[in-house]
Parts: sequence; C-alpha cells; structure tokens
Amino acid sequence: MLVLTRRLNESIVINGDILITVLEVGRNGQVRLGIDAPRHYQVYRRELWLEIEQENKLALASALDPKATSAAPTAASNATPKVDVTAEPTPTGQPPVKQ
Amino acid sequence: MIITEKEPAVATLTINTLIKGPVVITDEDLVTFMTPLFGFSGNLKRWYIYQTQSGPSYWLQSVDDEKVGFCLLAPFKAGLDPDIELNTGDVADIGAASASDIDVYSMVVLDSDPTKTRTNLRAPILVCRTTRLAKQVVLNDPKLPIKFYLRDLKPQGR
Repeated sequence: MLVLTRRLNESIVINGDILITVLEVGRNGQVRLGIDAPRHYQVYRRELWLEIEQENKLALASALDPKATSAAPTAASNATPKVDVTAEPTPTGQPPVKQ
Repeated sequence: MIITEKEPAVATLTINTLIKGPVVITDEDLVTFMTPLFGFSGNLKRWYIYQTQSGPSYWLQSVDDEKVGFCLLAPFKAGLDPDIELNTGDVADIGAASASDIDVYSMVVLDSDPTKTRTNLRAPILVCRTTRLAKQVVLNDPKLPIKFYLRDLKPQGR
C-alpha cells in the first residue's frame, strides 16, 4: 500500500485522471474526501462494496443449492411491503426513475 | 411459377441453464453487461434472463459460464415500491433513452426457509430493453436495504 500524508485541501492524483482531495478533517477522526473521477470509475465506500459483493456471492451459492431454488419467490398479488419505501409507480408499472 | 423468398435462418445458440437445462436462444435474447456484477469476473459479459413461471421471479444465466446463475426479483412486480433514483451516467451506459426503456431487477439470496429469502434493493440490475445492455448499480439512498427479507411483504387486508 502506498501511504501519503496530506493536509486539509491537499490532493493526490491517480493515473492522471482521478483526483482525491481532503475537504474536511473532523475532530472525531472523520475525514471528508472529494473524489473527482471519470464517470466510468465506480467509487463506493469499501464496506458497502464488500457487502454487495458478498450478497452477490451468496446469491450464486443459493442458486446452485437445489433446496434453496425450490423456494424461489412466486407471484405476490395484493402484497404490500412493511418497509417504508416511497414513490408512486408509473401507470406502466415502470419505476419512477429520477435522472 | 410461384417464387417464394426464404427468410434467412436466425443464428441460434444452445446454452445450459441452471434451472431449465439446455435452452436454445438467439442473439436477441442475450443481455450484455457493461460492467461486471460486483465480485465477478469481467469475462462474464453475456447473459440470458428467463422465467420458469409467470410472476416476479426471473433467472439470470451466464452464457460464458454455465455454472453461474442467479435468481432475480422484479421488485415492482413483487409488490415492492422502492424509490429508485438513477444516475444519468448509469442510464447512458446502458443506452437507455428514458426510464421506460429500463427493466429493474434485484439479486435474490434464496433459502430453503422462505422466511430467510431476501433481495438486494440497494444494488439493482438495470436492463435496457431496446439495447439489451445491462449493469448492476449501487443506488445512493442509504434507506434502500441490501438485505430486504421477502417475508416482510405482507398481503393486503381485505
């Protein structure tokens, strides 16, 4: 691992096209970083990435398990979620995607 | 003399699916992922989405590796109503002209105990119906759960 020390408002450059800047250093140890990168770079908090990666791998393992695949979700008519997820569906049933 | 034109033969491909076994498909049935599913190789580009019964469940089968496949949920068909806000870059990446071109799926972790079956609403898979390009994305809304248990779907009271 390359270790660099930066002060507030200082930056590092990766590969000439990714810029990471220290925007704020909190007294509680939190550091706010600004990341300027081309759109095709996906930038996420590491723990979020790892959790999603893990879920994908578990999804594969479950799809390979005959006992699990027999319990695939079936039609859920008249079902509503207990979880408070918002937004009205469009008439076609497509997601109300905000862009 | 009657002259009839033969339609050109459509190229087909036989793939092995985890659930249905061998299936004959055409190029139009294929979905190409622009970026790999998180945690999986970039070599797995070509996929096939199918159902074994009507409803909100689908299966995502790798054409490049027959041992790789997943159960997907169409969350809106399943009665979920997640508030999805898509990044314009992600929409452009799959060539969608508008939201109506996009089918949304969420990855399912199955369990033999149905109360433990869950789906990932935070990182859905977007498929553009017109271009057949797809991408798994991570949505910014932290309220969208990575583990939404389908047992939390309850029938409406009458």
